[in-house]
Amino acid sequence: MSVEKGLKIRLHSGSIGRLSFGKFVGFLLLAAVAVFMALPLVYVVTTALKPLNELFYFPPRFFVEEPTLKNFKDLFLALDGLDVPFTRSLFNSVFVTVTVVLLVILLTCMAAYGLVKHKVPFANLIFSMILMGMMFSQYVIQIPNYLIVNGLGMVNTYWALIIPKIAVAYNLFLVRQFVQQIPDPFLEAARMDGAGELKIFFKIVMPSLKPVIATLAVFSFVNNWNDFFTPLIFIQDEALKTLPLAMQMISSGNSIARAGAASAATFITVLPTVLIYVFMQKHVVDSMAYSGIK
Amino acid sequence: MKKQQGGLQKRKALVGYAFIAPWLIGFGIFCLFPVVYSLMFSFSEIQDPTTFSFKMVGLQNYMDAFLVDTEFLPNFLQSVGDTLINMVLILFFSFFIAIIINRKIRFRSFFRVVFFLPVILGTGFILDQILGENLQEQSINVVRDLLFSEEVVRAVPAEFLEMVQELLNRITVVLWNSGVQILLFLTGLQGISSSIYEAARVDAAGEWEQFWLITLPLMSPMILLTIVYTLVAGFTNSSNVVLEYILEIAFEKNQLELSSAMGWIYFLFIILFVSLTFLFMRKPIDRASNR
Repeated sequence: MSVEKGLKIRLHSGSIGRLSFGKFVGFLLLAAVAVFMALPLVYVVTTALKPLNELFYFPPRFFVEEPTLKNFKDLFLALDGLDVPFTRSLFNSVFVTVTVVLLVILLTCMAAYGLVKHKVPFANLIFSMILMGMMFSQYVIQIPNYLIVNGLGMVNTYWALIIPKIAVAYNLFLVRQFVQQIPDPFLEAARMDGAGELKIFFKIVMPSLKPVIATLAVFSFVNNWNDFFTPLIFIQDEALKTLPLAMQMISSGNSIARAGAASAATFITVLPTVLIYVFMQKHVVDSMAYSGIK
Repeated sequence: MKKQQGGLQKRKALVGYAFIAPWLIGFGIFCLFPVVYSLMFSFSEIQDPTTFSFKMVGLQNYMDAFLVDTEFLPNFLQSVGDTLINMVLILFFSFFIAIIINRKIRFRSFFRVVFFLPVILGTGFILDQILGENLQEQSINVVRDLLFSEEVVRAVPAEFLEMVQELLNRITVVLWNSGVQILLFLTGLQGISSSIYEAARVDAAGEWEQFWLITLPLMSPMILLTIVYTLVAGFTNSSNVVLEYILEIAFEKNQLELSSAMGWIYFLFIILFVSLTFLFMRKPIDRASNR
């Protein structure tokens, strides 16, 4: 008995010794890779702070020597040659993205709830169409999409950037996994108590979907905030253009002074996506991982 | 009673459809309809580009894609090859990283955030387009500057440096596309009960044996899921050469019909490939994980 115990302890401590060495090497490796992955982000920040002469070093330097905020001042106050101020594009991006995110959250959760919890006929057919939609690349159907948006008279309005972006197959797929986890008796009990369908949806279903709603918010925010292709096709009016297009115009102007403003614009474009992710990362990471199991 | 229940069921289904309707209408108009539209285009020839009047030409566009166009097939094969190579690398890399993170190391949650960061940064077309390459090049440059001082550059043949550069590029692609996969594996690893490992340790199984006999078989369903996810993500990635080519045909050469046909060939290939992968791997994996 005691021999066995001793053997077990020795084995155990032996494996701990090996583990901690393995752990150490693993930690170093992870740290190296993590630094490598964080580099682009650091580069965006340092570039935005570089004075003009440092921006044109060749070969470019990674770190900034004399940081300055002049680029931001140029971007907001002294950007000539653009038809609309940068702040207008910033507003467009915020307005369009926030509207899309809110509508995506509401309509996707509603659809997932209806699809999973109401035993609707053809639910499987609808679901397989959604799976097909996930595999068909959005880029390939851009022209038919243009014809439809044009036919609906939405070209050159905010609607073209909002309405077509609401129903995304992948989002429904993600939320569906979570709606399935809500116990049916829970909903039935509420129904017995005379709660209406809308009340059940807003008071029970939506609150229990919080983690996946955070995920949905992050993904649709990032996707729409960074979307370059949709406004490129649908918007000609300068006053309606969003940040990615404005950024392209700022950086394509070949005056040297623009380079500083462009690096500041890059920083401003990247910042909200990183912030929203950092604040919501716990939910995102958990629910992405969770949706994988089921 | 029965009739009443039938009525209740019907009412419930109606309410369900009311909830689905707004989303489904949007999905129908802006996703399904364009897909069907493009299927129609792929079998036709546009007569008048202003009104989009067309006549049916059967499989002409599909034949053109393979027989007349000289660039479609090479681009197609390159995309498929790239996706497969990257899939294998991503799979090994993310499995490895997941195993390291899963050993309760320090700053674990920090690492989880950093490895998922590319998913957030990389999804933007804007970053791909204006900054993406530049940013990735920058990180590669920093590493290269660290690795190769001038003396090293002079001492080592240029071919070798090119190879290393190529390798670094590939590593960057893999790193930037492993976020979701690492998470999936991490979830799988955390789902394996620690008592199994304890039992194995009592039986004096080494780390290596534990990995081959416990971790790998129990993880195989998760590995299949990750393979399917990586394949679909790789095939539909906007920086994919064949998708870039299909877009170029449509927007720069204005051959919408040909572009649609190519899109459909590619789409059918993806569906076929993914389902075959699933079919062929399912049985051995079921056997492995139920042993």
